Amino acid sequence: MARWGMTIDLDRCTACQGCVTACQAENNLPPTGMDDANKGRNYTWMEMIPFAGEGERPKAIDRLLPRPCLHCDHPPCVKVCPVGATFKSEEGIVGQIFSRCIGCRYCTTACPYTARYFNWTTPQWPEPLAKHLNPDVSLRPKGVVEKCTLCHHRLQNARDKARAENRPLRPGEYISACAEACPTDAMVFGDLDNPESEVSKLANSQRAFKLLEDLGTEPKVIYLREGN
Amino acid sequence: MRYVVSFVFIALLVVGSVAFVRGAYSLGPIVVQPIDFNHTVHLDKAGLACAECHTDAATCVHAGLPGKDICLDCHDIDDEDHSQPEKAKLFDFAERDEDIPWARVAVTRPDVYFSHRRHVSSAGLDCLECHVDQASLTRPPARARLVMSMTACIECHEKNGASEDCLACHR
Repeated sequence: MARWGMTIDLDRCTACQGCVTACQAENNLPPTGMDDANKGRNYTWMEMIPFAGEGERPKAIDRLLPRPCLHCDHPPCVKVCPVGATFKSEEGIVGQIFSRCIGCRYCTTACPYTARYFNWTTPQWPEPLAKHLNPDVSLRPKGVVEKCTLCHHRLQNARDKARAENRPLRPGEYISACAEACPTDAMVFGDLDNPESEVSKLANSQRAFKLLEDLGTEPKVIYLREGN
Repeated sequence: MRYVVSFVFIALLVVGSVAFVRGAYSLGPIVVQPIDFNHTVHLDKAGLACAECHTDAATCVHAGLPGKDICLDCHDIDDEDHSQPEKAKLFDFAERDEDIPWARVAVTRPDVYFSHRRHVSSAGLDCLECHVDQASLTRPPARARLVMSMTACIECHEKNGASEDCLACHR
């Protein structure tokens, strides 16, 4: 059984935000209106988290850290959900079933990475965008919490294709939209339990670190620190 | 006392109406098809298989509704009797070179991902295991006759050892 995860190389990442755009297009994320944005209610499943650079200014360079849902092995959001709307699948993907969510927002509070978003208003897509919605991803209504699903619909499609052709899933056949769009190949996606996979080699390298590691959430999105 | 009885009556009426509308809604809207298609004649008499008309069932998410060209593979516009009203409709579409505007009857819930390919080619299910008595229909159904409840899906998944992971069906 695969354990899907991703590494994000901060040395390669140029903060171009291509992953943010790819995620929004892939997962039917509506543009947040001005009113909601002003209230701090804009949401992107892949968010660029700004953090101040080390050293003295003006030499210190501020950075942007791409942050999807980290798909923790011990997800705090799952423990607090009262209705089982969020859960960890056998393959380690932290899923969110929108139709089961009651919008209590316990999970948004429990997630230490602020990777969960509540739909405060009915999502609306302006006319050109409305024609380009992805039919494989549901449109979430107002009043539910949503988050990155590691593009699990892509896993379903890839697996369906492999089954139809009567062969196992090939490495690289399932890849999230953000990793696919990354122009500098900063994101490497794959099976963390396969010792031959590039992602597992990177995840076990000296440069690998996990966000807020001391919390014990064991994220499966692993960052690679910048080399000197 | 009379007020209490009237109140209870009105409350029951409201609850009943809501339940009826919800029930009707869950089965989908009533649709009228452009041709009164007879499944029995095609399956039993002509001996066709479902996938001969619903050509995408084994390869796509949706099974597909047949275009006029599929009908005209068997029906000959020159030799066949145009006086039969349903055949005449088909030949009318053919002469006008228009596709038959079949109305989709069965629509899955927006949060559910149902793939025909997964069930037909990967799991090897027969169409009639879900579309139970489709073969006995002499007229097209006005609405979806199959209410796919999660219980029904899970029962079959349990029986056949298919995935019961939420993400396998919900999107």
